[in-house]
Amino acid sequence: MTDAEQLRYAQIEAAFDAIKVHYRAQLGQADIDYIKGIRYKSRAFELIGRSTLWFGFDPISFGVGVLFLFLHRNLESIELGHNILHGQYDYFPGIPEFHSRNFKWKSPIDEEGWRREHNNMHHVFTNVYAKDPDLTHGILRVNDRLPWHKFHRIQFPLYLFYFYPFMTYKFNAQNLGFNRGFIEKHFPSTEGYAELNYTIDGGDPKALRKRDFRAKFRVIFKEYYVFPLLALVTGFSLLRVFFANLIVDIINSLWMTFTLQSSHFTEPLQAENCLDNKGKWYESQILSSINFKGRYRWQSILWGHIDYQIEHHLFPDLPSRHYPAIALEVQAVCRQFGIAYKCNPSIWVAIYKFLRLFWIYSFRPKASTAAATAPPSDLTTDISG
Amino acid sequence: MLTLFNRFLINQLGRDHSEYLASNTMNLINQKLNPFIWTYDLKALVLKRVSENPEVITVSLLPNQHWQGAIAGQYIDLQLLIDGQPYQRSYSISAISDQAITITIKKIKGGKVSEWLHQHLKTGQILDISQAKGSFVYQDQAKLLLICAGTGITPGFSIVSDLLNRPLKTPDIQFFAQFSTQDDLIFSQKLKSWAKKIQLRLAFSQTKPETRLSAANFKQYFPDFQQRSIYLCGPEGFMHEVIAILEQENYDLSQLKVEKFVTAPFSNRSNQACSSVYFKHYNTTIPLSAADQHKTLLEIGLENGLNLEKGCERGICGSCKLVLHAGAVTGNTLGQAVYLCTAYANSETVVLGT
Repeated sequence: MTDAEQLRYAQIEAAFDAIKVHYRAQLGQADIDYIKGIRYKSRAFELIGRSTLWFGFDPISFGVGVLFLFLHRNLESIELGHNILHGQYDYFPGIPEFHSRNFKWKSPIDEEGWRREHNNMHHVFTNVYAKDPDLTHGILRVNDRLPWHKFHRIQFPLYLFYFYPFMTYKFNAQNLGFNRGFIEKHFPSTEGYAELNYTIDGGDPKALRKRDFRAKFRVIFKEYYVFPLLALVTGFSLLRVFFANLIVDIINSLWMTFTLQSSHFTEPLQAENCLDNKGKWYESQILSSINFKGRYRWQSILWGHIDYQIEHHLFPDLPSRHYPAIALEVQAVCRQFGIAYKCNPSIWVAIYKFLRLFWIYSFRPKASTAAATAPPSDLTTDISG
Repeated sequence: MLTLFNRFLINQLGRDHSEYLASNTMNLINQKLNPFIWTYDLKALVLKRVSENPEVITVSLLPNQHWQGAIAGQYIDLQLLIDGQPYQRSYSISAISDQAITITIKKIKGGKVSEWLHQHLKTGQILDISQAKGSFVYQDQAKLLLICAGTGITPGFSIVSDLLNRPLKTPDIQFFAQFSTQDDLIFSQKLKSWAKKIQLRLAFSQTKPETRLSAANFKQYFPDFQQRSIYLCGPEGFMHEVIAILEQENYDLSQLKVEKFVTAPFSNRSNQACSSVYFKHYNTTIPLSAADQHKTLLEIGLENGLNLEKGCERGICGSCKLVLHAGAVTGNTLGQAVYLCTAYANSETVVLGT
């Protein structure tokens, strides 16, 4: 690294640290009220959703029930679950239920596995080849560095119609290391697939299976046994509740998957040594992420503020409600240092770009034309203020 | 009613399943009605209180679902709020069953906590306790010698009860317990029943001064003590005497295990050196040497084999964050959260947890 580069990174580091210090100083009662407010809303939505599904009989109340139940499951999965597990509320005493190690997720995902894979690996080595496990979630191939395998030929339909609709049930396989075992068994080499840098329960397969089972069972039992059977024994429709819960589960999975995944894969891979320098790391976090634009404040909440992916990756453990304000300051810093701050005009564009990439990389690369399979440049450098 | 319900849950459903059943909302609502089970802290319900003698009570406790179990010989801390002041005292566990534990509490003259406990402790009460701690436990030795005095008998008593309950062949045990007078004797029923199974010797230092343990009768009492692993527990003066004898006899002190309850108050050090860090969720205390003083809390934990979560190790990603429960730290902290990778201990003891 030249002296000029070093100076630049030092300045970048100072600029982002200043933002962080500024917002950390502001944390307080408003954040506690915010997260409690989200929880209250989530409970109210659950009450409306479940009772409309339980006691209603017409298609309109079915639609209303699905909508409200989805709002509940969605808030619990992302704005509450994802952000709390980042430790965004660990600072505040008196709310142990919102502390990252106490939180019980209403998703079929083991909390410790998630924290370790997502916070400790994905958020540190974002888009670093062979180090970011999300880059190859399962057998996923979304860049030309990963060796092609015949399984990738079917990745597009496989993920879109089988994995993604039930994605929340698939995270454990990744986070607890079962996917890694699959790659080792069926692939010629594990080249490009990140090795997990942690062990849970001492790596005991039985204990890991138990974790996996417990995380899934708590959701399946509640959604597909308890509530449908309650409806049945009180003289209402079991099937109505069962299918509504299934639809909600699928929408929730798709929503979470596309929000979380379509804001990294379309962006360039990062250097392996990005962590050597804090300024460089901040830059790599910006370059590996892309925001997308929503219109209203409530949309951001339903996306768990992942529409501010750049801000989230710079400051993963600041409470998410600050991201919109932080974004303005981050953009100013980016302009100052000539870092590309990227933003998709809408979630649909983000999803379209992701799916296109996903399709392209499912095919065997033609020899010597690796560059041709790279996504067209117009897809990766959409800069907007 | 509630007590019955709580006991039913722990006994029939088990701790693991009780915890699995609880959701965040259940915890919140339940805390207001029933501050025992489905809370975020380790608590214990007082099941029974028995007087061993006028000065000593034995209390049976049922810990809630956060309890990780205990090994015979370990102790717990009781955390009490007396007249608005927080107090913490350690008590050895005298018996362990699958569900409950018992502790033995001696009334100490002028001892605020023990007097309060003797006066106010009743069944159905809920106490804040710690996980079982301590390494004063049996480690598969073939020949044992347990030397105890006063209520210092409890950890040794617990170890021997546990060994006698095991279906396997019991090791060769010699057990010495010294009390001031016959009235101070505790666990007398149990001790009597042991007389055939182990070599038991009781001494009463005031009523029968000739039985009192001393350098003169040490070898006579314990002819083969050089071959035995010694467990020593009692008041500080007594323990110093015994250790002095052992040193004189050139006993291999690595075979000696000691447990003391009353630690000398810490000297006021100006540089705020830290002597130990306690990781609550791993229930592990790490003693710090002088060389450790400049290490980060993360380094300290990892070097001692704790499976701590870590990420960037630069204080940015927040993966290693824990909550400060007691003591003080410097460096990267915010509110009660401590970033282990970039924070340092700054008080005599530091307690970290989830």
